[in-house]
Amino acid sequence: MKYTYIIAVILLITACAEEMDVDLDSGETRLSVEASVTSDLKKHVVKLKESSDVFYSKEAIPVNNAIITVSDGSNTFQYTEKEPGYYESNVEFAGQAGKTYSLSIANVDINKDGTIEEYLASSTMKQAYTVDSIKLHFDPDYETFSDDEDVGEFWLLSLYMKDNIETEDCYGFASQINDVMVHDTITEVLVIKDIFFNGEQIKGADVSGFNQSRSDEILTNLDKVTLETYAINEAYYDFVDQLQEMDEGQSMFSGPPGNITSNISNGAIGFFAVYSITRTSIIHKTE
Amino acid sequence: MKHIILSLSCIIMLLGNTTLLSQNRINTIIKTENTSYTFNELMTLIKSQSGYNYTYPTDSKLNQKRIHLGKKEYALDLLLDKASLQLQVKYRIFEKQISFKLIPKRSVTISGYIRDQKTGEDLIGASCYIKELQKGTVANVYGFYSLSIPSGNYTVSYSFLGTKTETRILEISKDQSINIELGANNQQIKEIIVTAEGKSKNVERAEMSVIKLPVSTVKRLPALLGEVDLIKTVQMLPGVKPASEGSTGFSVRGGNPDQNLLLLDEAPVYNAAHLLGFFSIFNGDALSDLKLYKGDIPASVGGRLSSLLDIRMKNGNAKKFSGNGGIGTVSSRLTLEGPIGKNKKTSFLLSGRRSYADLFLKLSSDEDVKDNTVYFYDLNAKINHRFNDKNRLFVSAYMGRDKFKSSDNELNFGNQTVTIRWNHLFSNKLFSNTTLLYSKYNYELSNRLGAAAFKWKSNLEDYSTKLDFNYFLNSNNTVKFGGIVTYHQFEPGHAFGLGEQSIISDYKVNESNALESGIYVSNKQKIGNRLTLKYGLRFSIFNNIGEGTVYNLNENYEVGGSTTYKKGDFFNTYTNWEPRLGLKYTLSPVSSVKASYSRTTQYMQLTQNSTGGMPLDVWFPSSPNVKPQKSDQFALGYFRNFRDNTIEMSLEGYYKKLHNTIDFKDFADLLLNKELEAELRFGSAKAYGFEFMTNLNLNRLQGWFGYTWSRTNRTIKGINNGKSYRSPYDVPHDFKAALSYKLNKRTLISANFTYSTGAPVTYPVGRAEYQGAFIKVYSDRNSYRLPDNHRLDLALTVKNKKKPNRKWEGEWNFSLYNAYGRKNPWYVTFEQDEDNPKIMKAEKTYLFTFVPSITYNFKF
Repeated sequence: MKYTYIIAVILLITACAEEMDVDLDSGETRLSVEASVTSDLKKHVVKLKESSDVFYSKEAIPVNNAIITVSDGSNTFQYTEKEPGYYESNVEFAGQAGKTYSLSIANVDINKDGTIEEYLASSTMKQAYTVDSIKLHFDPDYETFSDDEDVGEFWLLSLYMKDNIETEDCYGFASQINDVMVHDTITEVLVIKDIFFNGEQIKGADVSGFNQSRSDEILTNLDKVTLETYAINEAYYDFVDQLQEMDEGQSMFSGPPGNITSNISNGAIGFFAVYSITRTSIIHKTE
Repeated sequence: MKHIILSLSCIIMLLGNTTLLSQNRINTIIKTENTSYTFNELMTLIKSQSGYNYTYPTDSKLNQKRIHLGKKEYALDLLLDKASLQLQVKYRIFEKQISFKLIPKRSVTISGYIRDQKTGEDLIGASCYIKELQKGTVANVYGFYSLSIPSGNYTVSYSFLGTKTETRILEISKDQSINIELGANNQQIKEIIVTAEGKSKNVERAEMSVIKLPVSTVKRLPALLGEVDLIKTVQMLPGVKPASEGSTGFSVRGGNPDQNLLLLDEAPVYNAAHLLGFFSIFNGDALSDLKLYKGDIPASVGGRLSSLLDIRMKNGNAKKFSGNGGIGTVSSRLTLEGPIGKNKKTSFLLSGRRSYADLFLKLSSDEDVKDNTVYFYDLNAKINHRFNDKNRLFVSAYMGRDKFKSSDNELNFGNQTVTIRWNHLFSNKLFSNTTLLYSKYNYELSNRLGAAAFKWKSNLEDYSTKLDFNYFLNSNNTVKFGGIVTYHQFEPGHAFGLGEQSIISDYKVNESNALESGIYVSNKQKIGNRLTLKYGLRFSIFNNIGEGTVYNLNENYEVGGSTTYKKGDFFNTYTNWEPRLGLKYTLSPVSSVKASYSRTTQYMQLTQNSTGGMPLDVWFPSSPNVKPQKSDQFALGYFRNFRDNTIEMSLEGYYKKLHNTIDFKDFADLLLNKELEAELRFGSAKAYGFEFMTNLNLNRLQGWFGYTWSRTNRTIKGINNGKSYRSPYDVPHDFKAALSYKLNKRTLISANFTYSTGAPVTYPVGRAEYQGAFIKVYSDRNSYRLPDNHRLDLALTVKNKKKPNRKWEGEWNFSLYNAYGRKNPWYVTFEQDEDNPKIMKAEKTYLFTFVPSITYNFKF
């Protein structure tokens, strides 16, 4: 419930913004991890980088020569660095629901103190959700909740399915056009918890949108539109939710900013995400 | 002859005597040659100049007593009055014979009400002072005073804020009820009283850390968009800091905004904000005065740690029908008041205000903004009826609401309060007040967009009954005792879907109920002429009452099941002793030292996580998981007046230790969360500092300036890794000035200036990439500061020329908020550059630079 948005609208009338010089201390360099295992059969990826100062203006520095393994309790998968900081599992594998995956990152000395550190994380995969159907509809004057610049012509993707009343479910949604990921950054993924619709029959909730003023999101006749529905666990939901809140920035109505949680040990930043994916596609037809 | 008498009376007035006691006027003039005489000498003098003989009780030692007069000319009766007052005798003149009699000494009580002559309003805190005894008292919040003294012949003066004074010479031989009406016009007398008696209230008053402001003072100062705002004026006082710019919330001596008890005619107000805090709900036209207790909170009040803001509504003009109002940039106001019926025993007040901010939106180029509805209104009503001198009934009510509406969304919120009070005099020494109170704060938020359509409601209601007694034991002891019981009903949040399409299911945060009670007794005791002690004790009880659900939390704040209690079940109880102590010691007629200690307990708090606060914040009670917050405050102060008490200075230092302080975990989810208590973290806090204040009450220049140095920090387990951190209201240096200067009879200029250290803030000190976005790594909590905050506001008030035979009085008010356009950051955010997302930049958002406004106010 982005209630603050409703209030914020009123305030925009009176407030002005301008750039400001801020003198900030340097934080210590920490390991930044972007790792996932999904239900897709593929070579899964781990990206390692160094954290930097806030005003650092270049690509983050990759972390090389790490030794990475992922284990599901019975099998262990080795990873190899394909590009600087980009590690891929040696073999293709698909994550299985109910299994707990453990990530280990070794041979890293992020703070360059001569001591090698090891980073560990584990996460359990949830059962994929069953999506009944999806539908596209056009809104000529749509406003997104998060960003006041995203206003205008949108194609919205509606979801039809039933939430399980027995379980506390966390959902993630992102879309593809013609098999190309449109919502590829983490801030574009919609994450939602079923607190306010537990057990409900969802009859057309808009879970994804295509901004027709953005070149990569324009829909044309007979495009194939695919919705990816992620069954994520609560820890990953919290992580993405907090990251998105952080990305929106501070406002008068937000609490004091804090550091977002990570499931990786040893002070690393980032997350080892493990989730199932359900894909639902339709063909877009413009009349 | 006439002009001699006239000039004589003037001289006599200058000596401090204004009213004559004698039955028949004797205009014989007596010339005194010495500054003092013995009784016998004086009588001989009188006899030689006028031929009057005299008798007196021979067993008294009257003949040797000395009378101080000064070398003057006196009318005989005035001379005898003066002598009688000094000797404590009464006299009668029969033909050419003056007979003196001793007044039998016994304890008597004078009591009554002190009211305004023009409007019949109670004059809260008006003083009654007996010159010969150097004793006095002040009227309580209903204008009632009572003073027990030995019988005698006295100069009794009544005064209010130095502007309204009346002096009477009274022979008080038995209990007497004296109702006084003070007028504002008697300028000459005012001067005399100030010089003769020394209205060194600030110095003499036993309480400290208290600031009293009449609404007339508030109205003189510049205001944002010309909207007179009590809370914004309170924020200009030393020791008080606005929670953020444009916020109605404020921090007193490092406390949190929810630690201030706001009482409107004794009913608690739970959200004082209009338009998200830019204005407060208190409409100046309906109010008479306010009193802020920054510490030294009286034993009769409890429930909040930091301060008490006691706001009183006007009773309504009891003399004649009148009205006032104004047309401003933001709102228009109208107040009507007057007596009901012929016997003038009943009076009423009705006051309303409504904003028309909607009209501004219509000017917007944005179509969406244009269609929005944004307004607020306030309604104050009060009726008071005087059955007789012993019984009086008041009924007052307030209702106000804000409404924001766009095509899809709606938010409305507001308060309602009702106060029913019955003042009853059991005797001239025992005053009682029975009060019934009701207060409600609620809001509704809704969205009408398809699948996400929902409505969300929240409601808080209070029902209280209160009994207070003032027992005016004698002139040295004033005992107060009483109690209050409040039933709180919390409905923190209930959300449900709207319409067929909506997927939102019913979600209700558990409702809860509580009973908060307190009983107290206190005494103010004068010991000698210099020392006054105040001591009191309050015993507070808090019960959680079923129906209620309590979640079981482990040490990591994880929920493991819950316990449900059935209706009417008192399932949890907290009790606390709250001692309140104070002393005043007079060093000289113009200086004193004061000290105080108070313990306060707070059983309910606000889910306010942002510094500014928002209307959706809800109050939640203490419970088995949430211990009551406690505070111990020690304060010491030095008070000194200058220039005939027209300049009051004070220096106060304080140290405050707070226990069971509550803060919220990072990314806390505070609204619509059944498991709210799992988001809380507990610890302690402390605050200390000193406040220097100078109050000016000169002929033309009025107002105050002050400097505060203060620190406040918290140590909370689970926040900032358990390390101590600055409270969001930690602002070390703070300078403020609020002054008005009368240019001439019709023109007044005023200015507010504030300078303070920037508020604490948490900034990112690092970043890491994650799937196309940045994760910011933040510093320790509140380890940075925003740039220093300063601002100047100006106002000019021009009154229309007064015309005889015209009741209508108008005035124009021109104000300029933030006169030099300082861009004080409201908040700072770090964002990725649009052109190069690898670059981050800091951006400050600021409010209001140069806001001019015009208001027209009228009275009839």
